[in-house]
Amino acid sequence: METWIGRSVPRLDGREKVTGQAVYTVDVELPNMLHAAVLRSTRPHARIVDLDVSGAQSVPGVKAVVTGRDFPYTHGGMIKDQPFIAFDRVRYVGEVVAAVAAETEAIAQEAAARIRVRYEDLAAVFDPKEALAADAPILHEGMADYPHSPLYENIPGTNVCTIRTFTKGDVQTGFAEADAVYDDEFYIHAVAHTPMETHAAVAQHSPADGGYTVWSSSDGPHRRSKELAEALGLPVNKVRVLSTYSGGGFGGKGTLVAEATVVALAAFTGGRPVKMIFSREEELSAAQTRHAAYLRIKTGVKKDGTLVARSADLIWDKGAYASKGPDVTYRGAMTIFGPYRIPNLEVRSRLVYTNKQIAGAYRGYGVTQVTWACEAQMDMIAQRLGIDPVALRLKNCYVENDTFINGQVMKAVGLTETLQRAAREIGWGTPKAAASGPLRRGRGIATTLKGTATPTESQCVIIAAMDGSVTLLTSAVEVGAGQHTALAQIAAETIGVDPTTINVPNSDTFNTPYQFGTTSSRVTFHDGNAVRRAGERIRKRILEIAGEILQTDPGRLSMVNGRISEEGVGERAGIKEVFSQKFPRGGMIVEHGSYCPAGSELLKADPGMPQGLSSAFWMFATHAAEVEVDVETGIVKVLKVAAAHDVGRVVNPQLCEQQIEGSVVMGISNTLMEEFKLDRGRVLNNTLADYKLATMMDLPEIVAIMVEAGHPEGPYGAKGAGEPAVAPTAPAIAGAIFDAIGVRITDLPITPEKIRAALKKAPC
Amino acid sequence: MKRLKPFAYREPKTLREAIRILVGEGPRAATLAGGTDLLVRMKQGVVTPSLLVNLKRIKGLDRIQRPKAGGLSIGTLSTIAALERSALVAKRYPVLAQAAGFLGSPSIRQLATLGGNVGRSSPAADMVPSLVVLKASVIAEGASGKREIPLDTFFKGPGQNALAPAEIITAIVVPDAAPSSGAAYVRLGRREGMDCALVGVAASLTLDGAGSVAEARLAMASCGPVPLRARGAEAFLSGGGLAEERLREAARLAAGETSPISDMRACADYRREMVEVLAYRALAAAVQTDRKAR
Ligand SMILES: Cc1cc2nc3c(=O)[nH]c(=O)nc-3n(C[C@H](O)[C@H](O)[C@H](O)COP(=O)(O)OP(=O)(O)OC[C@H]3O[C@@H](n4cnc5c(N)ncnc54)[C@H](O)[C@@H]3O)c2cc1C
Repeated sequence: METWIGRSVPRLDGREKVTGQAVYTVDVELPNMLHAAVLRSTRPHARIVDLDVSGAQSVPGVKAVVTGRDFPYTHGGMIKDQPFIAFDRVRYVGEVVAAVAAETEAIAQEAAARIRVRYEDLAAVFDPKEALAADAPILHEGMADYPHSPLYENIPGTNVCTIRTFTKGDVQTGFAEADAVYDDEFYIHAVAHTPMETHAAVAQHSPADGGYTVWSSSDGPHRRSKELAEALGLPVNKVRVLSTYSGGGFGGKGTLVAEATVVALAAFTGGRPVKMIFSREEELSAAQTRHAAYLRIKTGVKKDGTLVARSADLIWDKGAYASKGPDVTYRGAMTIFGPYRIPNLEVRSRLVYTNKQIAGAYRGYGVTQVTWACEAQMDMIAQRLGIDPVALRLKNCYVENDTFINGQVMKAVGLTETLQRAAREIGWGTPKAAASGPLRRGRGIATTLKGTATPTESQCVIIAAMDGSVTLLTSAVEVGAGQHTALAQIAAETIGVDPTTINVPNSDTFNTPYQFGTTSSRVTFHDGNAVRRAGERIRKRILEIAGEILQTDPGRLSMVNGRISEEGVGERAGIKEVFSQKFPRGGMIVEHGSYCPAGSELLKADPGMPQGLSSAFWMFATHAAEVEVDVETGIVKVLKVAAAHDVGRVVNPQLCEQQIEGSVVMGISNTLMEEFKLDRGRVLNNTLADYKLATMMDLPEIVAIMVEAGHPEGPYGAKGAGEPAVAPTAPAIAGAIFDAIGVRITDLPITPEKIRAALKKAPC
Repeated sequence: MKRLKPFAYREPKTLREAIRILVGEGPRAATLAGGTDLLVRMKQGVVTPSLLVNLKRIKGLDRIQRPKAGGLSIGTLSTIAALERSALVAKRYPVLAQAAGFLGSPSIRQLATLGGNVGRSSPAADMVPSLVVLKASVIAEGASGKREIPLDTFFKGPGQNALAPAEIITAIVVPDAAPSSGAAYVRLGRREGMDCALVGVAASLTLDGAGSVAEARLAMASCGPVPLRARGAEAFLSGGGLAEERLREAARLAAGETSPISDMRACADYRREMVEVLAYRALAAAVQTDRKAR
């Protein structure tokens, strides 16, 4: 029985945050710091014919004005296609054309407004289907020359940024064997991450050694360091990235955004640091979005509901630059088959450049998008065949030891239980409240699976100082989900100390070891394992020291909450007493831990199948929703969401519940309210008055259910919880609407106007 | 973060001083009340006043009181939250408290003033339709003295009103409601809080001794360039009873009297359709409040 795992330990950063002491990137203040503002493109696609910055340079207080001519570098972690600052061409409204660093932000903004640009407009394209047409304007003629990993195949001369395919079995045979074949198309829209803290960064250049220091709330400090180093031709040990607390990211802070601009400026300020904070308007129009996608899926099914074949054709809206799109859409595409056993599979996935704001990683990493199509179609199949939607899913869904599409044998599969418990909680199969006036009730359910980027590495260092107090050095970023608290609990459990006494400072790539990123729901599992390994070593050394001081066999000693006991004797001493005797003149013990699942038996796939599709662990989630639709106004009110998540083992129930609740809120918001209103690529609703997020008033009762299918390789059995949480909400709501009024909406978001229009066509 | 453009700022202690400053500065001066609208538009760069005249240091402009002659006088600086909480308002004009509860969020209502809602003269203003059906007037004061402007004639276009340059709203006055009458406001947004009205409809019904409609008033937000009256629907209702079909027919007529626009928030057709739905609901609710009052 563990002491600290499974307990709602209060967050380590709670006090600091509620008292306003926590330092976010927007709070970073440095001596001699300058402030940045940028001039952004007003054109979706144009050549820069003339750029006159003299107006900005002459404003008193301006220290540097930088254009793409001055700083001719490109970046991109997957495909190097994006200039730090536009060269001679802009590809979306909002692209940085010039940047200014000045004594104050107001001066910088005033100066940026005085820069004059002459554009020569180029034909622009805003829809990925149109961008695939033979005569579509091309965004990146030089695509073939962009450095990129061989994983990402492009089609030069077109707008296809990447194309990926996968086949297994033979779908044509499968369709031939099926009793019915359904071919449906779905659309999922772009949405904003809308973190409370907008994108921000501070950079300082050292004219002496040519290196950079960057303060950022990015979710992957070591990867940002690598991307910057690669872009600028510097060694990694000259690019230091310091993490602050992050005021939310949700995937949107997983590439160089504000960082790129401040780095470019810092090169020209003689060593003075430069800070940039995105305005909310910039955050909503020139940061990153979720990828919109057209998802066409064709599914063959037997009369009894057995799925026999599925083919899919996916077209993703890239926006102007690659960002993390190549991987997001690959992961998404490989999940279009859902958490179901289907013998014959085929998918083609194309990521297509358009003249719009860049799309990037968004909670769920492509899986959120495909879950929309997969689960909405599952409901439609259930309805067409007259099978209960829960029964149809239970019939086909993965269970323990089933194989994923590449043949990986899946372990810790708690999917069935998530379906059963979510259904029970929503009252599936029990009578609903009767219609009252214009109000109709309905229930819906949807499920999902999500893997984690595999294999990836996490390392950590644990220090027990001269007084026995423990510090955990990790580059896992506290993005708000409680990562530092969960890791401290794992460390505490392993070492035998109280987690609230553990110090977990924010990371610094020069001082905290490598980890892949606080992404892909991977920290609890990967960093947790690294912490557990380092913790075991520290514990061993602590007990050795205790044995030496207490003059007994360390094998007879154990430690809980910093108190050391001897077998058969009882409590002997505290860690503090032992360490102060061991280190009268100071000292510390340091241990390193690392974890990477590469080579694990658990990842083995079928020969000839992509091994990279295996996941270190699989997460499963089911959401069931009850809604009330006003048939006169088309307004949907979500009354209740039961969200059952298989997280392996719950490390901290309260944090886990918050993850689930937060993602249900996010899901409701982006299903029913959030939407970009665009005019030729320009975001019209770039304020939170017009970009509608759900408010407290819009929220239903949320019941978070934690299912624990313990993972054999997870730390204390834990898997992850961050991403899958948001995916099933949209299809569950759509299913509930169908149940209420017989109207099936296939393109998100679900607006009152769409419901009214659909009702007029098919009155209920 | 977006920074405000520089501007001058004054805090007069009296109305007269405020008017003098406004006259002196000319058309680029702006009066500042709660600032929940003005500062937002200044940040967006939609308006760039050279001088802000903050009215909040002027004593007595935030009173909600019942004058001897009857009715209600609401000082221009009364906050929306004060209206929501006022016992006087709740007793005599519950529709105003109800409308107040729709505006923005608790924190916005704490700052936002009634004078600001009327003074901004947005067709979407949430307090205005209820004030219109209650036959409210604006009391304004300028260099040439004080005057009363009925709300029905106050609005001239989006953001435009009958105030002369350097004229300040000091209060909104509402006459006593007729004995057998009820009023209600319903509105639709894209979410439950912090949202601007896609459509808002206020209705008031006054019955004669025989129980038929002596007077009906319907006013609508976000349905045209100014807050609109549905005069055809009002005329249709007058003299008749309260049968559901009559209310529905009136609602249909009201929808036909609107000229909503399509914008990024909603398309015109949906808005017009919603006027019908909301007008019926407002009328039905007005009947209910009347029943409750009796
Ligand atoms: C987040 C948010 C949500 C909102 N939601 C709503 C909503 O749901 N419904 C709604 O109707 N409004 C809403 N608003 C708009 C605004 O809050 C209201 O219109 C409010 O009543 C304005 O009052 P104020 O005192 O803040 O006005 P201010 O911003 O101070 O002034 C508004 C305008 O009125 C003028 N003005 C103010 N006082 C006087 C006076 N005494 N004489 C002459 N002119 C004057 C000003 O010069 C200015 O042009 C919202 C605003 C925000 C920021």
